[in-house]
Amino acid sequence: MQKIRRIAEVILSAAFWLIIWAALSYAVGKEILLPSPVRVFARLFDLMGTGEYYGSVFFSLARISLGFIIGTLAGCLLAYFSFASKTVEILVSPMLTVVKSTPVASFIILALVWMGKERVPVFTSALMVLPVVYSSTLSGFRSTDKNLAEVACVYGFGYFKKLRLLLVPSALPYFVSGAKTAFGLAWKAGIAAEVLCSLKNSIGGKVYQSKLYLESVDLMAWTLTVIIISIILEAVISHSLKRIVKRFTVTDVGGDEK
Amino acid sequence: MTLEVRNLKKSFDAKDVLCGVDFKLTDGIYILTGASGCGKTTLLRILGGLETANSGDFTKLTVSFMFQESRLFPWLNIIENITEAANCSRETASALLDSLGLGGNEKKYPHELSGGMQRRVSLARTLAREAQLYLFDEPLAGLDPESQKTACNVIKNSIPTTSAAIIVSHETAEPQKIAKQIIRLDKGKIV
Repeated sequence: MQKIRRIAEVILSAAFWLIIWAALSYAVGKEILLPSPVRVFARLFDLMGTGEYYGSVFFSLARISLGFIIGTLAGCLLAYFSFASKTVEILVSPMLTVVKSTPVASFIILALVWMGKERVPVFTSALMVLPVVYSSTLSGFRSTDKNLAEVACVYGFGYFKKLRLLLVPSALPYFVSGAKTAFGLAWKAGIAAEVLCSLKNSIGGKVYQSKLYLESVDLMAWTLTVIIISIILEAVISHSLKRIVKRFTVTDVGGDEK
Repeated sequence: MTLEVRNLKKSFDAKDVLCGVDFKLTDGIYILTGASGCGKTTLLRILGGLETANSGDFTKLTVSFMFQESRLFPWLNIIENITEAANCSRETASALLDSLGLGGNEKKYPHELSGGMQRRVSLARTLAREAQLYLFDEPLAGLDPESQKTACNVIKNSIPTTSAAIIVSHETAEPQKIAKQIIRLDKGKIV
């Protein structure tokens, strides 16, 4: 019952904003400034009937996913080494502060100078993911239960056993939460990089072309594609990781006193 | 196997907990008893390598430790909690679980068991490890009288004849039946 209510709420909310959009478009009266939702959805369905559309979506997803994987791996490794060594944390910390504070457009333009434009969305996505995954995973390592750490110590766990049975399970719920946020960031930054690189076979490239030829309907249709894919991916990631998080967030280990 | 403890001293925030503990024991089961706060757990933690003594010395041995709390890994099922921690075979773990009345719970996770059952799993984990010295901190706490009796029998039958076990316990009736000697600790000293 609650689920049906939730779905109804989402549909009603979406309908409300579509009506607002339609009303504004009607009030503005110029398609180039704000096309109507009917025109945009019609164009989106047209685009979805072409192979080029799916090619663009596929290559964008592939590039951004690759960046996400690289950023995630780097973030996890740096988090582990920072957890293991204060020196590494001191060295890494300013670099990540710079990454977090620098506008993504600056990185995209710099990356365009440094590397081929095919690689820029990958690099940008990885850079957006790294600090988020790093912070959440490091917090996870630090949340390791002291009582279980004592069990590992007294039972003589080796390096890899400690990592496998204690540190990774402790960090996993934190990592998952960070990775979910990071994927959203990577997706948006990756598309922005594609726009600035005007890449062929990419969603961003199509957005750039639409802007260049003042095709507002196309621009909105491709933007809608970005939003829809983002929502689908978030739902898929959340659903697939829910069970892992549930299993590893059981925190009662039966040990408070000393 | 001989455990020799010489003039062990430990204090926390200027409060003396152990004030020169001396004893020597060979294989067999020993009960360590004394009033609350007399230093029993601290002594066990030092022998288990979890605390450092301020001074004194003791024989370093391979240790298996049962904590006051169950301390099971929540993401591992019962059988994995034993085999992974104690480095033993599934058969050994299953046999111990059976003897402690926990047969059929191998695939369950700790949160699916009652507090008493978790304590027994923790006991099985301690006994499954091959060690020279077994340390039990209140292993019978939270167990009903029948389970206490079973636990004591399983401890007696599982400790290798060449190893020693120290059981910290307020309950003396059941443990006394399996103990070689009772060690009393009072105000940080063996009496």
